[in-house]
Amino acid sequence: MSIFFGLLSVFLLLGGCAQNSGQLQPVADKALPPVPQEELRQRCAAVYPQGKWQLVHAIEFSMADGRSSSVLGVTVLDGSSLSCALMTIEGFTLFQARLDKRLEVERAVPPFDKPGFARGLMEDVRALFLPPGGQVFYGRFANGAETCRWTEADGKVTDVQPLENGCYRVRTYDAEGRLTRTITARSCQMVNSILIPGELELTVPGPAGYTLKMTLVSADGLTMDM
Amino acid sequence: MKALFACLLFFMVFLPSGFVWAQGATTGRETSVQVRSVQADFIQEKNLKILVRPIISRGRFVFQAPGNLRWQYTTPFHSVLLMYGGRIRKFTERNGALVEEQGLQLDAMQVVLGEISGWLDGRFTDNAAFTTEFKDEKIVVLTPKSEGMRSFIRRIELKIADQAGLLDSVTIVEGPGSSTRLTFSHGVLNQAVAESLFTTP
Repeated sequence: MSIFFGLLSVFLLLGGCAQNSGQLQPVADKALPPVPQEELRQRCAAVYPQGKWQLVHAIEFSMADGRSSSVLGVTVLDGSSLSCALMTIEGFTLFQARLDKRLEVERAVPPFDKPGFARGLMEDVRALFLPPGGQVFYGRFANGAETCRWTEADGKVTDVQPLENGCYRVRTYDAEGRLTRTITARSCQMVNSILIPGELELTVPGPAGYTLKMTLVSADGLTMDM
Repeated sequence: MKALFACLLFFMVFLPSGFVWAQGATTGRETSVQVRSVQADFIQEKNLKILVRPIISRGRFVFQAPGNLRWQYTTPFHSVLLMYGGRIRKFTERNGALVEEQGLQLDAMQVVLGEISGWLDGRFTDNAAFTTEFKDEKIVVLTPKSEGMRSFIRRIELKIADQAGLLDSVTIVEGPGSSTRLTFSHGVLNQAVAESLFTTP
């Protein structure tokens, strides 16, 4: 248990040592060179799968108190709607829900039936696989790193930052500019103009925070009707 | 939480118990296999309403009477569940190594293990947890008696193999469009099994 707590601590500390310490950073210093906007737009767009996809991940989740477990996660994307399921490796379905215009929970066994779990999970899945809403701005941080920044009507902000290794990092902030989620993609491959990460790590900071480490099992672009 | 882990464990332990049940005493077939151990490969096919393509997993299990079990997945990733001397441990692959999972509620698992002792004796018709229906000589359908468990598992269908003591498949139906089918192959009955298989991942 201490290992996961340690890993989580290290992860958070590293995040703190980077350019972002948990607060929204300013973008677009006019003194910086202009961003090749179309190229940046394409790189950020490639983060989010278009069309129909079925993604299966092995998910290792660790809580801030050190508890950890592993499940399989299934995500089916179809335009702006998504369905997801969590199941044990043995095939037992723990949770299944669909998010279109509204959230519809189809199955939730304890403790995944607790209030707020479904919405929180779907927010994570949405952040992982669906492009943010609102206005998008293409710019640079003070250190010169390029970013695509979406600002929603309610003040929430999403920064998508393409990285030099061909992958990307996503950070989301609440309306007060506090960091709410960090997603780091690794081992990315371009499939049909979509960037498919071999690994995704999602961290929600804070005392009740958690880390999801997702390893890709399969990614299928779907052409048939579902 | 207890119900969840009870169900999870049920998935794990049901199968080898099923092998024992297939001895025939309660199916009408006059067989008299004394099951001391069972080993087999399995393919697990998970179907969900949202899935266009099923999720396929493969692995192997080893059972040794009265209650030792090794249940191992080899694809899509490595995972091992061990039951030995009443203790249950689960290991999953992380960064290339098998790491023991923490926080499993073993008390609930112990309760389910108590159920299994009856199955091991081939007494599944009077099992407290399930009602049993014989569709024919080869198909047995188990339905959970408690409403709580039925909300997780609607029914379980066993297909008994021609060779006494073995099963062809187990299908666990969770609900409409959601099921897990385990199909077995290369079954070996009553071959000597090393104890270390149940203690070392």
